[in-house]
Amino acid sequence: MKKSPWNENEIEDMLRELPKLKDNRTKEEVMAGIYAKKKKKRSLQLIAGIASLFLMIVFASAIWMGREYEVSQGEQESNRKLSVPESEQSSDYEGRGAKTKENSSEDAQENQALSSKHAQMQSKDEALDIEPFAHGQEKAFAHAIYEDELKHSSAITLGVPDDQMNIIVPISIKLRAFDESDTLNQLVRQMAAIDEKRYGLADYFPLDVSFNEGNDKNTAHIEFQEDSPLLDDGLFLLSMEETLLYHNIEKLIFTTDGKQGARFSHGGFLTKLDIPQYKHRTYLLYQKNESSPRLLVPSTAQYQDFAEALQAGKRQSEINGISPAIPTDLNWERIKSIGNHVTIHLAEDSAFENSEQVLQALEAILFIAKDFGYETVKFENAPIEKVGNLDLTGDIAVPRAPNQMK
Amino acid sequence: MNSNLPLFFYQRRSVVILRMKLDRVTFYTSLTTIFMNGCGEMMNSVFHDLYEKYHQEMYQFIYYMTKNRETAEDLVQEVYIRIMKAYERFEGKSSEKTWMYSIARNVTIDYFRKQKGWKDKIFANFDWNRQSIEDYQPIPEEVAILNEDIQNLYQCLNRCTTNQRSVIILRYIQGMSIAETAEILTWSESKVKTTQHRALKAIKKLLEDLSAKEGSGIEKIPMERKRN
Repeated sequence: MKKSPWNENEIEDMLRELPKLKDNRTKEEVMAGIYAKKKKKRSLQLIAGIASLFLMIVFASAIWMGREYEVSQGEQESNRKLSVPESEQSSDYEGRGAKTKENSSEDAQENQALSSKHAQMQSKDEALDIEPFAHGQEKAFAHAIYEDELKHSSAITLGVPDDQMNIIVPISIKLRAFDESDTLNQLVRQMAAIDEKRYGLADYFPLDVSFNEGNDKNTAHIEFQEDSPLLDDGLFLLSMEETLLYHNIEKLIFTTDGKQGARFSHGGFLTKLDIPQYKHRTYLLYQKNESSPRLLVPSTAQYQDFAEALQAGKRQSEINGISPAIPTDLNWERIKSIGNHVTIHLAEDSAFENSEQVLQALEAILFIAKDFGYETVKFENAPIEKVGNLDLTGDIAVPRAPNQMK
Repeated sequence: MNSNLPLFFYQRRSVVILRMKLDRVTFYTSLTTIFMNGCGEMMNSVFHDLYEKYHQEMYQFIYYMTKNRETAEDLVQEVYIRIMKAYERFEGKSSEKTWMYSIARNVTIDYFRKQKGWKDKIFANFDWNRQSIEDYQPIPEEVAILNEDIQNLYQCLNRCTTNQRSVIILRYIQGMSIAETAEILTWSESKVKTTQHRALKAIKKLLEDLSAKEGSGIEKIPMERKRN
């Protein structure tokens, strides 16, 4: 083996030799810079203040106008009551809508436009097999998708960067069953349809590249245009790795304008990328804010062994929005593995209850196990038999994909 | 004068021009009142004091972290703004110097985060555990005049994770002790040691890769170096 030309002591010496870098500005210039910066900040705050005041006025007047409208509508209806028979007085929403239509043709048009938009949205949701989304009703906790749930359906998982573009969060969507050969088309379709903001993630998809099947079903092919901004995007390859990991694709082949390979500014020139199936990571929680769902997210760090990764699932992170997935009071005494099976013997004093927090922690553990190549997990010495749908009395098969979105 | 415009327009305009002129005249003399907003003379003297004691090393730390002169100049100003805001809350639990460094590091990390947010991936290796390969930041003159090994080493620094880079800069360039580094990063000393070790290993690997790439198979002979 070729001996390295540097040893660590030499590198340490070289580091100490790095030159002193000086700020050539005078003290007064620095102060002037601070002054300008503070002034800029203040004016930005002022603009923000004025903008929010303006918005408040707009909202307040909208509410006021709305009230006036309601009042006038109420008056109109009470006037109508004089001539409308008793049976029609107990009319429902549609009846009232009809009355409004009679009164105002403009309103009628608006209603029509809204209802057609609503219908459009509904048909879009039906096509995607996703329940229509009600704003503000996003579930706080996203379950994993298990293999036995996929008898008559299929799942698509996308690796989406978080709001601050620090980590990749896998998001899974259950669809009507489709053939495995159609996976790439389904992926592209879901990339176009996903509303990342809804989950507190960055608006990342769709991507301006074309996906094609490779020579075999485990290979995908990505074609870039030479000036594609994705080539400068440090998260692109990570997002692809996370996405394709769940769809049995083991290799990505790149071409740029028909030529073999692609030059990534952060990864150099690559003709292909192997997608590792087992990355030995831990799982943590990501939640942008209280109104967005709590999602399981794989760490960027990798760990030597399963026990270390489990322990890391309890650690706090420096990244914004990331918190431990496993509570510190959920403890285990020993971990034993045989082949693809791992047994976790829970400690006597382990805090364990049938709660969403414990369920999500257990799912995190199952995904960590999956990342280490285990297929089944047994929790021994659990004080209760079931947590959510997980039956702790037997072996639990590791889930197919995390963060099912409905 | 355009007769279509009302008279008060000209009156208001002249007031604005007058104020601008006054601003320019009084600009430098009013520098001492920069921190007068709730801070007063005390803040002014605090600035002078901190500037004299730590400005250059703070600037150097941020420069090595960001590898960009303009950014370093801008961020070091932000450090002062934050210090002025937080100065009253400084409890003296840590030394003034480590406190300033902590603020400087936070300012730098916030800057990286913003860059990420704007999808500017110059610092794609910010994500603690990832490494980037390319580096487009120009080499500063002070480094460019040194030998190729040092230049390569400077380039490699950017390819370490942010944590590794912080430790390397604090330990070897700023000359901080393990204890001081741990205090600045609010880590344990053992974490500093481990990160330092990993960083050195990473740099070694990067230097080897770079050497292989540049020499395209020709083994690079390191400079002979006298150990202290």
